[in-house]
Amino acid sequence: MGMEVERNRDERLLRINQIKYLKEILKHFRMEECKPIGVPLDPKVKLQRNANGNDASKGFPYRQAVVSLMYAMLCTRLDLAYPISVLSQHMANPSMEHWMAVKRIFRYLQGTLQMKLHFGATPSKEVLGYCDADWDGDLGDRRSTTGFVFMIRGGAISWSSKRQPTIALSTREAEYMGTRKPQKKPYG
Amino acid sequence: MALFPGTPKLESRNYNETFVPVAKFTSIRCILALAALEDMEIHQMDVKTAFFNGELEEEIYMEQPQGFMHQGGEHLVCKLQKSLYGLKQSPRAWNQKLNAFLKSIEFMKSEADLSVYVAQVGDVKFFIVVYVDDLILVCNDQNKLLRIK
Repeated sequence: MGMEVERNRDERLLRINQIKYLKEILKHFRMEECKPIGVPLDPKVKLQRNANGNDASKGFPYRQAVVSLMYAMLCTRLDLAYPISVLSQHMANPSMEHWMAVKRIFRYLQGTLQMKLHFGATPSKEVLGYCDADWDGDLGDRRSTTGFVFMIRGGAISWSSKRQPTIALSTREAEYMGTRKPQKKPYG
Repeated sequence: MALFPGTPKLESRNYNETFVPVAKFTSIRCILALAALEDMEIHQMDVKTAFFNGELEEEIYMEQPQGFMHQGGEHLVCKLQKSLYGLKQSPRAWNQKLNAFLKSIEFMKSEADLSVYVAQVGDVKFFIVVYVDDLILVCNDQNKLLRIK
């Protein structure tokens, strides 16, 4: 499945990485020699709906690239959950700006190829979950975004970043709605 | 009854069930984390020519393969005894067979993820995650693991 498992039995550590798969997709999209960058999405750019009608997916493999990145995100790269959720909202009609954002993710991956899921940092057996929400984050329809992560022994096992289905009227409402989804997740 | 290959497969007439459970990434990660914690053995195996092992629920016929025509019986067709690669129902036939085998050796299917099987006898814990023809076996007793393999 493109994942590689390494472990240290004396210390009861286990790491999952996808370096091989990531190198392959960088090569496939001709980004294998790009310069690395530290942040996957440009904080200064707010991606919006493509209004001028120039479909960037005609000249660039936008959808293929997002889907390849999405697979990496589902397997080990939870750090891509938010960027992928934003980019996949524009699958149908991406602009040049969106394509630049995809290329930026490749540059980010270039710099973080060696990142692995690491199990064993904490000794406790319990499952630990975190969730958070922004408010009014989407400039287009003013919906909020929720993210969550569940961890065992310091390693993430389940994660998500999603736009909420309804519009929240306050930060508190957004956060409250945001806690519902992760509460249901462990049972489904 | 279905003819393979050549005729388009109409759902209602030619096959009924094609659903196959595939392991969730969450369960794979979860079980690997558990294995690391309890220092269990992890083995990975893929089943060679897995789909040839499945038993078919329907009667399926195919044209005789080129070069293996029956002399004087060119108008005959073959009835399939087992599933073949390329059939819509092959993955399911294989999964059913594996499911029956694992149940026969006292594995319980997880209700949260239909592709995870669990067995516990005394202190010996055993997990199997099925990803079509790839299996991940996790056990805290190496001998038992090798026996099942």
